[in-house]
Order: sequence, then C-alpha cells, then structure tokens
Amino acid sequence: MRALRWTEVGAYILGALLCSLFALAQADSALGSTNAIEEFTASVTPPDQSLWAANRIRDYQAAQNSPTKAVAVLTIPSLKLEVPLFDSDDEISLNRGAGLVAGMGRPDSGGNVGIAGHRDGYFRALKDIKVGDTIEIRTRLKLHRYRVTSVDIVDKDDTRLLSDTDLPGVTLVTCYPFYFVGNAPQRYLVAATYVWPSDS
Amino acid sequence: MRRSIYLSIIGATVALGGITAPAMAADCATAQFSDAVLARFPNIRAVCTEVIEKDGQQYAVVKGDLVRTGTNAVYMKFNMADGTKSDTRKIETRPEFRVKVDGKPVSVRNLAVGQQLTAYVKVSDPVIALEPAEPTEALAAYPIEEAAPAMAANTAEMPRTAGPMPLVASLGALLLAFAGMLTFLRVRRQS
Repeated sequence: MRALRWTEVGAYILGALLCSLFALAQADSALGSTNAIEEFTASVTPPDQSLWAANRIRDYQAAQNSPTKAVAVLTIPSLKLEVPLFDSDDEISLNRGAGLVAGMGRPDSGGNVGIAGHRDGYFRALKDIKVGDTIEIRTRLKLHRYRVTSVDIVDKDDTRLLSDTDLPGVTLVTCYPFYFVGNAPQRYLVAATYVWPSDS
Repeated sequence: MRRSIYLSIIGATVALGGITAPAMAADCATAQFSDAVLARFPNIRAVCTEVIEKDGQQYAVVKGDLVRTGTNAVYMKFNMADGTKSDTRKIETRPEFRVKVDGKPVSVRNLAVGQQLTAYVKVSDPVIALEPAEPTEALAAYPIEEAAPAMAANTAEMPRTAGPMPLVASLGALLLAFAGMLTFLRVRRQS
C-alpha cells in the first residue's frame, strides 16, 4: 500500500517535471525567437562607432558572431513564417528557430544552403508550401530571394538533395511525417533556386 | 604658293589623323584579343560590354552576377549580349581588396552572392581583374582559369530535426494521468 502511495507521488513529481520542461522549452522557443530577430534587426543597422575604441569595435563584432546570435532571418511570406536563422543545427538553435546545416553553403557565399528546422515547431508550416513560393533570407550583408522549385519526401539517410549546386540555392529540411512521435523515418525537403536581382 | 597650300592640307590631314587615331579606340567586335585570351575565354566578345584603356593597356569590360565567394576568389556568371548568362568563371582576388558595389566601396570579404560586379579582361594577355573601388587604384590581375570551378564534395549529413519535446510532453501527461488514476482509486477505496 505504501509502495503504491510512493508510486503515485513519484508519478506526480516526474509528470509535473516533464510538463514543466516542455513548458520551459516552449517559452524559450517563443522568447528566444523574438529576441533573436530583434537583436539581428538591431545588428543590421549597427550603432555609430565613430567614437569607439578599436578593441571595443572588435568586441562588438565578436559578440555579433556569437553562436547564440542569429546570423540571418528566414521569411516565407506565403506561410507568414519568420524565424531567426542560427549558424548551427543543434537542439537549442532549432528550438528557437532554424539552423544552417554543417558542410553546406551559406546564404552570402553561395552554393546549396541547407536549413534545418523542427517539424513539430516552426517548420510544421512547410506542409503548406507550394512550388513557386518565395523564400527570403535577410543576412547582415544582403536580402536573398529564392523561388521554390520542388518539394520531396526522401528516406532519412538519402542526402542526394543536400549536394552542392553550381548556382546558389536553398534546401529546407525537416522530419516527415509531420505528426509522428519519435524518430520519423523520412525527411521533407523543400528546394529553391536563387532569384537574381537582375531577373526580378 | 599652290605647293605650300597642298603641303598645308596634307599636314592638316596627317595632324587630324594623329588626333583622331587614339579616339578610334577598339570596341568589343574589333579588339585584337590574343589567341591565349580566346583559348581561355572563348565567349569573351559575347560578354564584353566595352573596351577601355588603363595604364596603356586595353581591357575588355565584363559585368555579371556574383554566384559564389571563396577565401581568395569570387565566382561570377557574366551577362551575355543575348541576355543569357555565361558559364561560371573564377576570379582570384584578396579578401581585403575593395570593389565597388552599388556605387559604394566593399571589401571582397564582405561581398554576397547576387551582387553585380565588373571585371576587366586584358586584351593582350589571359588575365582578369576585378574593377577596383577607386579608378586610380592599380588593377590586381590574375590568370584566367580555363575550366569552370568544381563544386564542393557533398559532406553534409541529414540533420536531426526531430526534437525530444513532444515525447517529453507526452510522457509527462501520461505520468500525471497515471498518478491521477492512482489517486482516484485510493480515494474511492478509502471512502
């Protein structure tokens, strides 16, 4: 009888802890995303540094490159999606926004830019994306526009669509099916090609 | 008298010829590109917008889109006369070298794809140089590479896009439901 009582109390405590952890992650996702976008927007128009010392300017620039700071903002107007883009696709970054996939291109330097996001978070909206939709990536240097050319569902180990490309492009990656608890067996990939300013 | 008039006319003609000769600068169609330039850059006439003289040398001006940046190089697709783009060309440079983008000087390390750049191809030698930010700056010319640059090998792995949070939330809810059920049974048994 006593063991049953302890089990009951233990289940309450553990259940409450896990639910609190989930609530904290949700709060961090919402607040972290908003803060990251605000910080990024402020960094695009940096403060007047004409009176700053050289080492202060260096420290300021180093702070802008911190892994916790967004390197860009990803926007998909048709889905009303706006998320900060981080330099890493680790768990914390993906909880707050989307992350650049290691070993692939970067928005300003070209190639195939890989961007990962959680299917149960910001990238669940990708289920409604269509060929022809516009994807925008605002970096500190430039606003890049891409047009969606294909949407594919592939095996989770199939990395062919992550290969480098001659022309700049972007590939958004998330798990598939979208509503699946546990390790999803497939990946949902959205490929888009660069829209040249001279062509638009 | 008549002889001096003839001589004056001839002299004036020669003088005018001397003045107009430099003004008749070569254009893209008539520029005498060397065989080495044509071998390395076969479609140079199709991408050439004008021919200019700088430091006593003729250069074909080519404009295009930046498609990729590297540590010491940029990769461009040039605008062809028919409106299409050329194959990708690598241009060596230095990260601190400054070029002009939208009228403003920008160092190569701060360039981004999609920007429009201008480069100069020397008519007599197979070398190419990015247009410097200031016209007075010296050109930094590098050999034109024959082949289009190879793309990077695919080293990317499929990212882990399945977060543990849905599982954490489900487990937490199940435990709370289980604890609630135990409470219900205990209270029922006691009453």
